[in-house]
Amino acid sequence: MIGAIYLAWAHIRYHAGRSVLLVLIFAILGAIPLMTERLATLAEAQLLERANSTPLIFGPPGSQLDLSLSALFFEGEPRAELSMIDFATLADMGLGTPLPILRTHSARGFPIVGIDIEYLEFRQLRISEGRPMVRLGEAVLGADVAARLGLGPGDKIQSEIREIFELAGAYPLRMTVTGVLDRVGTPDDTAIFTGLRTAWVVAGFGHGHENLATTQDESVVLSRDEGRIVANAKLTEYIEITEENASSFHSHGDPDEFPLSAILIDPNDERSAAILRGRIEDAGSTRQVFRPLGVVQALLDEVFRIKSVLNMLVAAVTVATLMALGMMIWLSLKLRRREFEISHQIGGDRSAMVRLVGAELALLIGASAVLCIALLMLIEVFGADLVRALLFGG
Amino acid sequence: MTRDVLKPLLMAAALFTASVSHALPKDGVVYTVNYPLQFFAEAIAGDDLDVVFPAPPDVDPADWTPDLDTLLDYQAADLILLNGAGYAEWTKGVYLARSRLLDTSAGFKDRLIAEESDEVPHVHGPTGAEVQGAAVAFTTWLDLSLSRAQAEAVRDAMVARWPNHAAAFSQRHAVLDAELAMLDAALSEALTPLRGRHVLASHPVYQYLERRYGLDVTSLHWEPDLTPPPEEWAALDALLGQRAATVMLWEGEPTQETRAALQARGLRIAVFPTLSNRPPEEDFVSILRAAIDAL
Repeated sequence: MIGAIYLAWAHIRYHAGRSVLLVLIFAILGAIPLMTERLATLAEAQLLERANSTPLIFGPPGSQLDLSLSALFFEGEPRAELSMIDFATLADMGLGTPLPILRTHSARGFPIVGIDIEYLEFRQLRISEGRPMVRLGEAVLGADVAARLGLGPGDKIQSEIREIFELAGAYPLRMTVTGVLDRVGTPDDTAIFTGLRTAWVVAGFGHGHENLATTQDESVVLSRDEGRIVANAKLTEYIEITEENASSFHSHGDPDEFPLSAILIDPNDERSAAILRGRIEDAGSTRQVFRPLGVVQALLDEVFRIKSVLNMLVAAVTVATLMALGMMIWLSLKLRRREFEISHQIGGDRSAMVRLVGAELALLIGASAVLCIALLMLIEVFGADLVRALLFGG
Repeated sequence: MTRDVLKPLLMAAALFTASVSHALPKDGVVYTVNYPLQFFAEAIAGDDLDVVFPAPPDVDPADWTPDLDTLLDYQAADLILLNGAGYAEWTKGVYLARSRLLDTSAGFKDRLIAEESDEVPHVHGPTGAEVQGAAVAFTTWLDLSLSRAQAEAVRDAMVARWPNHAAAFSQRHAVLDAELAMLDAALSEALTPLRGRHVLASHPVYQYLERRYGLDVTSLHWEPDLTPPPEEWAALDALLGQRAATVMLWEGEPTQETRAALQARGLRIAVFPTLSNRPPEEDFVSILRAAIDAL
């Protein structure tokens, strides 16, 4: 048997190019279905984990999937159809902790997410560098935002104006970075978090400017009487909140009507969650509350239905490739018929030929298996990060 | 002999117990924005919670802004007691966990007293919206019926957050409430002779006292530690010429010169501290009781 292995190894080395090709083909055929299966499992786990860690989402009526993608993954067009009245209603129910979210503009390609400070605790987001935002105009960065932009505590990041002629009149706001969050492998790594009030300023629902009662520049005043000063469009707003001008920042209109994109709810317990859902459903169709786990699971079921079709295609391609390989090996054996005849003529028995071919195939398949396992180990080590990067852009 | 031996032993035991009780970790931390709320919270929480009011003793907490470290401490607190009524404006510009904030005057918003503001409102463009939120008087606790409502809100918030101490909180609150009710009755009785009569005040801080106890207060802007300039005295004389008054309420003891000049005009000085900040000695109840006795 040793002789057969020796001869097989010599043959493989002699036909090194062909042998490497065969090893690669066998390895890829084995690894691709296993790797895709593993990556799909990791992706499913990460998507479900995000959904599972969010008991309830409260939002306007409409697509639960869109709302889930927006509130959980900060994906999709930012919308803000809720208001602080909704937040107050939920808070008054006392059935859980409502966590408001306002997705508004972006800064250097990353979403700006207005939150209450409790969001950080709810998501167990720890500050790795610096401190949490405390004052108006401050922000903390997700780990990937900080790494990719090379920003840290003390740096500035400016919001982008969404449209060139933004009719809402939102000026860009230069925010001060006060901290960087630990990397957690979720969409929180790629977000810029700031307080709701700062997010409202970014969205044009608050601003700061010189005191119109004492200004020396009358050209910014349209009219002035004892009861009211009307400013015109020439009045320049501050684009950065500093210690000196912070007190000049204010909002016009009813603060109760300031917008929110969604409200995550951390219910006190299962019973509270059920009561809360019942109350919202009883209240009519202007609002909805749902478990994002079910929505994300339904999305994944759809994805996996498509995946099963893809699996069948991969299986068909695998079978075809194996048949081609079989044909190639059979042709190769035919080409080696003269070699086998000479071997028989000089005294070798027929089983030695079988052992030689068997050893050769075993060595090739063994090498392919080693390569396949190495690829799978790579997926095991880096797969989670790869999936995170693919899903959440980290 | 036995007594001589027992006394030091008992004292040592008491000291040990006190130190152990002091060292025991509390179940939570409560931050407040003024002294009355600190007093109510401490009275209700007993030794179960840490109650912190971090303002330095020499500032008016209504105008004080905490430094960064103190803000971070507020942010980390389990419960933050706000006075509401626009008190402690700084709370509007910082990020504190909403579910841990308690506006202790939220239950009587309809009883808050609007104040006239010198500020002219502005809008952006002829159809722009105005900045909302009218100026409101904030020394709510000087109406002791509102103090009781605030203390009740504090109790409810503590019970909701630390239900395992509910019985103790309720028991201590009952004691506090009885004390505040007694003060309310005593203050009402003490102010009965002044009911409906014109009273002067050194600052516009007695709006709730005025309404609760039926006074007719005209407020000046006089600082206790400064003797007013002659034009202020002239204005006072003109005011007294129009509407006589016999009593002037002061947040603190006025200067000797002021006192003498007021007494010369037939005005009796009644020091009635607002107690926004913690007093160097005594507490909310004892100081109010003394002020009532002086009245």
